[in-house]
Amino acid sequence: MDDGRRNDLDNLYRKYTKPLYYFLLKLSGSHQLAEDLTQETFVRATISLSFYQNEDVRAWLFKVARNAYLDEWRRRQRRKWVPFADYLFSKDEMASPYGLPEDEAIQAETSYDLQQLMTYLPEQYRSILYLREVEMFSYHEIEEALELTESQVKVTLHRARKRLAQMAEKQGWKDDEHGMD
Amino acid sequence: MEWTKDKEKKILFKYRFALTVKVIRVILATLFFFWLYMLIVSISYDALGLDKKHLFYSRVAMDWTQPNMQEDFGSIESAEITPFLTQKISYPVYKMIGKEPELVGTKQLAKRLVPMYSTNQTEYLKPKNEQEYSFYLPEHPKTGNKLEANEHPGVWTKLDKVHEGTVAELSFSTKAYMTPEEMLEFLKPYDLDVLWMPLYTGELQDFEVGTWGSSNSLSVDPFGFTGGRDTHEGYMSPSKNLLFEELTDENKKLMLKQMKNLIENESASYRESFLGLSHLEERYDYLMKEGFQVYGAVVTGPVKELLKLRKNEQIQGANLGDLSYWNWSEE
Repeated sequence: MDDGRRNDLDNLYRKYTKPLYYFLLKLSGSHQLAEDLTQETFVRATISLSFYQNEDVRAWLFKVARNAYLDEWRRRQRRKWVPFADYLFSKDEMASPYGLPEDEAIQAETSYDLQQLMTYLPEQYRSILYLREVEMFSYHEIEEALELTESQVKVTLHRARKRLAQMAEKQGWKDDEHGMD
Repeated sequence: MEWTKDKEKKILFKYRFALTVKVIRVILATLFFFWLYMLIVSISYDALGLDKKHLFYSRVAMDWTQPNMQEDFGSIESAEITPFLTQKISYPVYKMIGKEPELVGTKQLAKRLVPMYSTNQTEYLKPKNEQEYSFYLPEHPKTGNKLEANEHPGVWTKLDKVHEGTVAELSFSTKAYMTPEEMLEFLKPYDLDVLWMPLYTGELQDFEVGTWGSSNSLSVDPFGFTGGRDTHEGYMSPSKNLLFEELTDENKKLMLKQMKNLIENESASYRESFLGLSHLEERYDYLMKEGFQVYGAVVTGPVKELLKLRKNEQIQGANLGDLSYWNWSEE
């Protein structure tokens, strides 16, 4: 890799470190893990640069980040079968891609925060809501980042909002208080 | 947790470190697997003894196509296999000058997975004299017309001038076809060792080959008769006969046996591209049908003994090979 290209890459990563970190923090629920997954995202992105096909850079980096998170989750699930794995590997908690059980959300007394409530949603709903509402991704960018078609993006976004609204309602929230879309 | 510049630096540093570690791990893993692959390939290659077969047949082919060229018994040969499964074999080759072998070069074989691209070369220590082994057919195979040889009178002058304590190698053609037995009988009066004989195997009669010569002389790529080779226990115990009168029958049988083995068990590309043996089937059929007919010889011995051949009316187209200091002993 020549110096010019390396500098371009460094600048690109510097620009996206923060948004990717917060996205991964939202997915994983752990600061430490979000840091590790952000650097893992950059490693993967650098290695797979040759596969990058003029997609939207931001969407592509978020796609890589999401895959890093899902792979980390799968790796942790596999480790559960390894004897004494708890002693060998990091014990950082990690939010499940399937979300926490809804009953827990209803019973949780501290679920006043919308962001926290989102941890009870499945990963795909969490990702699509975060990318749309926080990162202000266009539908096209979401299509690339989550590898969905346009109609799938619309349907998934609609369902994610509906599910979040249902959960918020069960918590006794009102729409105007939290400004839900 | 607040976002800080330090956090950004930490993540980017960790990314560069992780990337470097990953690259090093990939390089180390690649080297390890390459080493493991080569270990398995080399052990299998040695265990299967694949080089033994190629060594044996390359020597058989050398006996037939390169006059007075042979390996020295017990000489060190090297065989290795490359990552692309090309077998590279090399061994030193000698020629007999008097009673002692003289190193002339190295045989370099490369047996590739695709036999067409296999190579078989001899690297000589000194430039090869083109006229060193020129043999002339005594008559035209198609017309039956008598042919002559290109004479090099300088041959006899050199033999005359050099000191009698010198041994040399000489090749010549004869004015008529003979059987190997007749050739050995013909040379019996001279104190010389007979090393090789050009054999007529149906060239221009049963198959076409490249020729050269003048209006009244004709040469073809020589295909020769010499001591036969045999092998036992899957090429593990090769043996080679000398061109002695009492072994002539056995030598003929061994030559035919190896020709048949090559025709029946090896591909045409192996025979032609790798060993350099063209028209082996036609030559074999001709020898089986017409028998062995030779039309010259390569001999070695004291120069004054070689000089006596000058007076022999049956000999034509003599060429002088290499000379060496006296090493002759009467048998």
